[in-house]
Amino acid sequence: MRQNFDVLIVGGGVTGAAVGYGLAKKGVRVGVVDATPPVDRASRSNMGLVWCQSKALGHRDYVEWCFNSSKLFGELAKDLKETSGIDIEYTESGGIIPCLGEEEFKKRSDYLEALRKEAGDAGYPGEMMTREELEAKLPNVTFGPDVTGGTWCAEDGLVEPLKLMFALRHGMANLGGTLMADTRVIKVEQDGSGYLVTTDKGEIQCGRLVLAGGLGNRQLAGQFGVKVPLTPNKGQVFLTERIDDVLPSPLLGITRTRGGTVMIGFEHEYVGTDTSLITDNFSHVAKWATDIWPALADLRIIRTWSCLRVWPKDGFPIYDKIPGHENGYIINAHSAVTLAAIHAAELPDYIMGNDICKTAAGFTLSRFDEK
Amino acid sequence: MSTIPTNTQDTVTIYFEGEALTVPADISVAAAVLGPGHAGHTSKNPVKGDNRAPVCLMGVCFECMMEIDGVPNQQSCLITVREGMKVKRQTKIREKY
Repeated sequence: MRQNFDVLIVGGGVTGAAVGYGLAKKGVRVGVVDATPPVDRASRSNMGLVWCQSKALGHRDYVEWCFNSSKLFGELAKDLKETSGIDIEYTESGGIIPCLGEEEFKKRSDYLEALRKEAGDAGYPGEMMTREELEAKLPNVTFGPDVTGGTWCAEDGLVEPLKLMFALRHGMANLGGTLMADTRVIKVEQDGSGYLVTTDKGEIQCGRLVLAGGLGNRQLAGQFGVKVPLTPNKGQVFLTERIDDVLPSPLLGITRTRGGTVMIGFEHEYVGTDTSLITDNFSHVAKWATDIWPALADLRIIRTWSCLRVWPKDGFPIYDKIPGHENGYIINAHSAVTLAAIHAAELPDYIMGNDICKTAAGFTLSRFDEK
Repeated sequence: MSTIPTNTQDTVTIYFEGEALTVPADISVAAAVLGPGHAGHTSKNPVKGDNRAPVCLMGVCFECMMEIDGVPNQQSCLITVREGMKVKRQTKIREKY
């Protein structure tokens, strides 16, 4: 028997689940199919940072989009607790980018000033801290001698990313949506004004189709002859033994999880789909981390792993209709965690045929067209 | 290394919380303290403070952390017993930063 949904979302990572959750809240009959390839699971292997500060100069819309999402996170966390029973452990932790040396401090400071200037009357919620201010902010961390200070932004935060993903999925299901896990999409095709999706578990009909398959969107959209310019963006992280709560605010690249472990890593590697651990590519990360916080060197590393993140060609999200389609959509984002709250809030109306809000209107697929 | 001892008579003596335990020579520390040692728990979760013990016994769950020969937070399920080894429950959080 064919299943039937108003909206079918292909991909149940943080992004697909957030859109599914938002749709289920509106009472839309939504289904999510998920069978993420093991190496692609960015939603399962990230730091859980809700990170807004110090990025995207020259792209004011994206800056606003991130900060707006951060503002919605407290409400989303509360909402998810009620609908899913899961506490996503959202903390309004603020965030810090530590600086090594005077040159780095100056560069970071100039970048923040440029962002502030760009923001104009809207203001920019980020500032520089001297080393003394940094020490006062984190009194239980003894910084290395070369640390000159860092940034501070109160609007950055932290969630438990696995709990976020599962809360969105369970919440959606409790609100009447349907999650079909371990279901692999084989074929997507147009069927009248809607779609017919063939999976390894059977056929699904839907009025509207959302491709939210992360890197898999390349293959999925490819079935309609559409190229989505996404690149695998590899990250390698390592995790220390558990420590006391001495780091209430993450240092970008060094996060203490709520479970007590310290997660370290920040690199973006472009090595295709190779997920093998390459120590040469993260030994400098370990060196950097201990330059910032020398005592980390005494902690035992208990595990390390890598994953492939999603990187749209210019780093910004993609929200668009499949070219030539009225009811099919492509959704991709690198910062799926940071944007989860605004995705759940804003994308459902868009998927149901309304215009996307002005801030996100520029994140089209056509921006990649060769001029 | 064979996973099955060729001679089950071979034993070593380890010290679990100071108490001598004579155990088969080829087993993991986790197996030694859970079996002959009747440890009950092998660590305390440093954040929540509850008692923990090995679960998966194959290096995945990280619940079997113990202090072995003075080195804290080692996965006791992945380390084979050795003669004279000193094993302690992991009850303390790392405090020095």
